[in-house]
Amino acid sequence: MKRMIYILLALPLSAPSLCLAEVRGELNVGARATHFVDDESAKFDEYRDMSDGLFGSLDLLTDSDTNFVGVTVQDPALDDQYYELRGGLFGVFKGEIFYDELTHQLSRDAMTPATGIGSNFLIIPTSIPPMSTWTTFDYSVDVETLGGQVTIDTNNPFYFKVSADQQRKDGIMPWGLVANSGFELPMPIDYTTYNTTLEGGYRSKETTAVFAAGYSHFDNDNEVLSTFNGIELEEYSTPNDNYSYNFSGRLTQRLSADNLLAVKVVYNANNSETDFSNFQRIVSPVADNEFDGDVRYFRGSAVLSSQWNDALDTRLSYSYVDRDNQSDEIIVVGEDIRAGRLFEYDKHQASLDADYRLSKVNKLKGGYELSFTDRTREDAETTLDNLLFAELKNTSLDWVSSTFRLEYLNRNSDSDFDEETLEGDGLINEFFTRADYASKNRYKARLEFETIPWEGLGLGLNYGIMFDDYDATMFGLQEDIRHEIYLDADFQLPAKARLNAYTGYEFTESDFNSRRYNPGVAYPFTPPNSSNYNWSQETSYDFFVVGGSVTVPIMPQLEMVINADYQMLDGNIEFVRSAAAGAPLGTVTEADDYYKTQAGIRGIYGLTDQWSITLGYAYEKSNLDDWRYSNYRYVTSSFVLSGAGLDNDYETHLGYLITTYRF
Amino acid sequence: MKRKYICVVLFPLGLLLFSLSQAMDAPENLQMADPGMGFIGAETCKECHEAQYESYSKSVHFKKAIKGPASQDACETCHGGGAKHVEKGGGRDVDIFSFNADVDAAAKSAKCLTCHEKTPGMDLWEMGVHKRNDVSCDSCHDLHVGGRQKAREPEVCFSCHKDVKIEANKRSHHPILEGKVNCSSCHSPHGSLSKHMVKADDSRELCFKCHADKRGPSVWEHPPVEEDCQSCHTVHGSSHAKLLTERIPQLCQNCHDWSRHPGTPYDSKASFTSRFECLRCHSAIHGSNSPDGAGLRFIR
Repeated sequence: MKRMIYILLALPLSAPSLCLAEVRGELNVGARATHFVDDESAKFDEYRDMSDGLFGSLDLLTDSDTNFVGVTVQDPALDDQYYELRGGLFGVFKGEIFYDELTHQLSRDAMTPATGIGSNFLIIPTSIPPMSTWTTFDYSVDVETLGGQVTIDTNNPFYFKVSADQQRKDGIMPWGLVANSGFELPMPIDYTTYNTTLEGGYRSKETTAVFAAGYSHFDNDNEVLSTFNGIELEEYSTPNDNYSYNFSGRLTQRLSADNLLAVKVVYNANNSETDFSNFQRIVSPVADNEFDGDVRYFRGSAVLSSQWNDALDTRLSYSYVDRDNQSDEIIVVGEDIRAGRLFEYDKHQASLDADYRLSKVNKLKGGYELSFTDRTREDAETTLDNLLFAELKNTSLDWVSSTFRLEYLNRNSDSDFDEETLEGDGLINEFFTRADYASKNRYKARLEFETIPWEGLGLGLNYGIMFDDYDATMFGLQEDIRHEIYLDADFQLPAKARLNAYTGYEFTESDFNSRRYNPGVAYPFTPPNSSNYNWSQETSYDFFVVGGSVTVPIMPQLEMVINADYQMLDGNIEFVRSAAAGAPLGTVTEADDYYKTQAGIRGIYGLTDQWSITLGYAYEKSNLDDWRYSNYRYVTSSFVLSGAGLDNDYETHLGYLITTYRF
Repeated sequence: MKRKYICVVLFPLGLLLFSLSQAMDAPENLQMADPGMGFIGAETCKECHEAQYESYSKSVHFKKAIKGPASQDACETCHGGGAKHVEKGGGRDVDIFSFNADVDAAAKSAKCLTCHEKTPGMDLWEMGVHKRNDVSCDSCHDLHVGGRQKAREPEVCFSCHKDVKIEANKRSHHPILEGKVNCSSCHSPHGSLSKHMVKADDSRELCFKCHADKRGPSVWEHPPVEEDCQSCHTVHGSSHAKLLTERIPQLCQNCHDWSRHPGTPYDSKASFTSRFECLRCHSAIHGSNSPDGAGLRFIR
């Protein structure tokens, strides 16, 4: 990979840039130091490498009348480094190659008494040794992507695009618990994905035709994750190797000056291979010891866009998806017969929407959308959605723009259960409907204001409400309501100072009914006892965010920027059950409760037109309180955890100095 | 194998040569200045608008090799003939087409589309959500800036999509603010036939571009996963871990009520509740490849 980086850096020197006219861009070189007051959690640098020391970036573009070359380098040598080389001949072709690294930190200093961390074979001790002897490791994944693309687009009707990339993921992720011993499993991640796409198109004044083909291949180096405690071998499946290819064609045809038709068809096949012979303990249920996954999609869509007159335009659209599952069907005959369900569906969607300009300052929109889904799923066979919306936009005052939108959705779903035959635990299906397809009515409203009351001041207000009413099921979600309000301001202060500020509040609340039965008495109208009872739950979340920044020119060469941001979530879950079922249930008052504070100040001093220096300080603090992690214990009588998901809090001071040179 | 790689190199090279040969033969259909339309030439514009001319001269639109303003009438390609504007002594919007905020968005975009209607992907602009919401090209692109005219992401997008800006900054988010995922990594801002103008045929296919490990097909499939990732995940950011729409176990219980633990209320009186994260046992929730029946419940 280093060789690739050197090539990327050297290319601009050897490229046609030698005879190019002008170089533009920016070079940043900086140094920083962090000080952690309290914890140093993975959450602080979840997607970024904030290591102490040097960092920098370069963005460079040089061009002539006929060609151009550009280079972008960000954070070289750090775990989030990025390199891009781009170039081309104007009116002929352009292309780029890039290399990108992304770090995803999940939990730092996780620990386990198991050995073999990072491999797909873990040795589990029969007795738990003292924690001081455990192995520490980080749950993190590094992602490296190397890719490029070329677009050939000349002054003729044809164009072509070719792109390819390789993405490599390497690291350790948590993967649940060992079935019998309860050890939390660190799973090795060794994934490679290859993607290639080809696209060719023809354009004329009236017609655009595009044909595209794509191929993607995913390869997992660890096909099975195994654990061994000296007596028992446990085996866990991991994501299987798969590949996907697709072919598509799109035609956009101007039927007349006012009518445009677009039609697209896509054929897509996803295939996978799982070699069951990799499993030592579990006997394969199929003769050839292999699962061949084969799911094919056929998609079609068409949109007719029409301009009826200066005031009215419409769009009529239809889309279709057919999921055809040709995979092997696996039937396991063990304690009970278990069969893999070949999941298939058809989706049809048709819609008509219109924009009507009532006057120069009033625009009305409206539309209707019909969706129908037919699945090979007993509990969710069909779903029919009817959606209506209307929107009015008004700009009658020069300094105010307002939009009001209403939306109504009616969802009607059917299962394929024969209620006469439901019995035992399955009787619950007569009274419970899964939220993802349950019949419901949804009401949405949104109001938006954008105003400039006087020059230099911009204000925005955005309020939305959404209410879901699941009125056709006794158990499951019953109601779900969401309010959100956002306010922002942008103020040009005297002496070229500028203020940005924003705040937002979101409130969500849902009501949920369920039945506890253990086991057998699923029928909800039997008298409650400690093992069989109905219960309900009300979940609410308050989310609040506020922040802003002010930019103040202190003197002609010096500008100060001060910023502060704060956000918090307060979650609450209340439970109710009959007194006959037992003591009242306890309210969960810490449900994903968190806060995050960021603040900073920096001064930017311009030495010359090209050179400037930025000296800055930042403070960040974050904290998560969740009932699941309260009184966290690594070892209990039934499981041995490793600390996955535990590393969330941090408090950090950060100082930095950056020198900038503009070409 | 080597032959395969040779083909990979030769194919785009062949396309390049083919296109170059076509380009040599392509007739010059550029419209040059027409004095009858009141054109006065860029040098005259520059006398009053030097700063704008300087920035324009550094932009790609100034390149004579492409069919653009420089190869036609420079400033007047987009702003229209300036003779009357000059005659009246100039002034904001005086007999000249400007790209000011109060000018009709469709009219502004129409100017750009004169040249860009054949830019790949622009054929769907007319059907796109942006056009229908009075977004014009200059809403996102700085036409007078030197270097690249690409929109600055995500700042430009956030100026209208304020709710997304707040979501992207929540505790669990895609690395949008960190610059590792751009809005245009997932969306086609110039129009698409897909919902939310995503750059794929549906949202699942889009997610698989980075998360191919979830693509399967798996031996044991979880139907909501096969239908829509957004059954459980939000796309920009969430207050709950892993960009989930709801906290676990509440999220799972919204769809699962059965005997024993799926129907059990997990209240605050449980002694240690970390084990109630459903995914601790049902870890293969996106689909299991186990040969035994435990895969049906995504346990192995």
